[in-house]
Amino acid sequence: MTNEGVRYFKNIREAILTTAKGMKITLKYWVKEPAITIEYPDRLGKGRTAEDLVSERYRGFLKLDPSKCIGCLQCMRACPIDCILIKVEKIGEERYLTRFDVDQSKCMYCGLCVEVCPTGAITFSKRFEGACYDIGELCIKHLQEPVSVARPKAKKKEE
Amino acid sequence: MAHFLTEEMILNMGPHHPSTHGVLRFILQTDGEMMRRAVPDIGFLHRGIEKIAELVPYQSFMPFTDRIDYLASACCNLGYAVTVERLAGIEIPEKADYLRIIAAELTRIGSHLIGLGALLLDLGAVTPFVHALRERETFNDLMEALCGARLTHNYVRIGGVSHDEPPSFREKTRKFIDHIENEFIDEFNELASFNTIFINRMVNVGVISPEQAIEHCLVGPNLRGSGVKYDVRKNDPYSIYDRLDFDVPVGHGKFGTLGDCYDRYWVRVEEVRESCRIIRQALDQMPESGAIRTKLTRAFKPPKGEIYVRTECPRGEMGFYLISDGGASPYRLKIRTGSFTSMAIISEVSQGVMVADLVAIIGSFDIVAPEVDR
Repeated sequence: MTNEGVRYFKNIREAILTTAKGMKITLKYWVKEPAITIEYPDRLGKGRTAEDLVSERYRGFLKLDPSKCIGCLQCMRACPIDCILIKVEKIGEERYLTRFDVDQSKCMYCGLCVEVCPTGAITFSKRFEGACYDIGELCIKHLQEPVSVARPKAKKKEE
Repeated sequence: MAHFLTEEMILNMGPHHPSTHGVLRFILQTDGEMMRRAVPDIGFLHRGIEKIAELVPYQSFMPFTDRIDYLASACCNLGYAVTVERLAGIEIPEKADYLRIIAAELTRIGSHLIGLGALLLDLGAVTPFVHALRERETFNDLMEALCGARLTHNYVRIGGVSHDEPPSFREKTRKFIDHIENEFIDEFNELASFNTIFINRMVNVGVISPEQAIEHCLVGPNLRGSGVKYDVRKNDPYSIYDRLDFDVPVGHGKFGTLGDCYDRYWVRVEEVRESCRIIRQALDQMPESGAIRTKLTRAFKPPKGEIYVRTECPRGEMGFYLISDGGASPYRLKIRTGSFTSMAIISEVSQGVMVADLVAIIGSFDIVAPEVDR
């Protein structure tokens, strides 16, 4: 047999051997329990929701605490893609928040609005399941009716 | 005997081809199964990120740097932050420096895992990709605990980082890098890297000589795969890389010629080990507590001037050229990326290879399509 022929069969032998080594590893994981992947969202366990899977700092949908918002519009300015729309109007003597819309379909969850908020009114929730049939549903209107803006410093003075 | 057609045939590969790493298109000039040339057609993922930079404030541009290279967002964040800090002369706290490096090196591991897995997937080996993704899942969990996002981290800020380390972050990170260094890489090598079929497909394919690599401005692992020892972290240290001890792995023709596809692949495997070393040192040196962010003024405006800063991303040197006119947003920001430079050499190395080998060549460059177009 020529040199070429010997190398040909040697190559086949090595290919089979090294593939068998890889198969051994695959087999090891095949018999291993428990499985690494879990089915979503059926096998979360009792009483657990998908929101329990994510960590404390998870950046999900934005949520608003209207009683804390002072209407400074800093979050609106910090947003790189303008997905927050706030309107502050003066009705009589007091200033009212009349509109606070967050378009979650545009939002890129960067967290700049949460960082600049001086009172912690706008924060992240852990909600991340945003699938819906109409994209308009993702434009979340946080205020149903006008709310007077919070004045934390004024309250302190009264006390 | 029948007359055979021997003229050149032009074939289209992409833009949506499973092995082109995103929306990439190649025009192949083929002669039967042999290829005369593959010409890349880029621009499908152009999003005008450089133009966006001129329209938003400095700090608000940070989330867009995530999208330059989505597999390694913390590294891109770091590059942009370092650029602005050098221009404005901002000092950052020591702990923030370490947290940045840990995030960037973790990202490098995560990115290389995808790069190695995707190359094997292109060549038809599905199992190693799943193994690599399993490890990346741990990295995703670590980053989620650290900054709250799994893919587009947006962790680094101008003047520091966004969050301090969460509780038990150090133990979890140590466990992760120990697992990668001692168990995963060896297992992965046995599963795929030392497989004879894989080696035979990779060696002596797409050979780039060191001179050719330098001529074509190859950067990062692609340059080091050709045997040129050049790493921005070592040669032009930024942040705190000069305090850390690590090697720069280079290709040396492990199974075939110097600078072939296998060398580029092997450099990435070795780099994962080096990243583990860097993270371990950074975790040891990092202060227990301390400030993590220098407060900027509310309307941050750096002084007039221009600067070019280069950083080492998983796909090579990422350079930010920034011109400031003293306003609230950059006058011009030019981003130079590693994938873009490696696109230029594909038409040259693809001359005279088989069509099936082109997939190996593209995969070995570890191209991420959004980084090409920006």
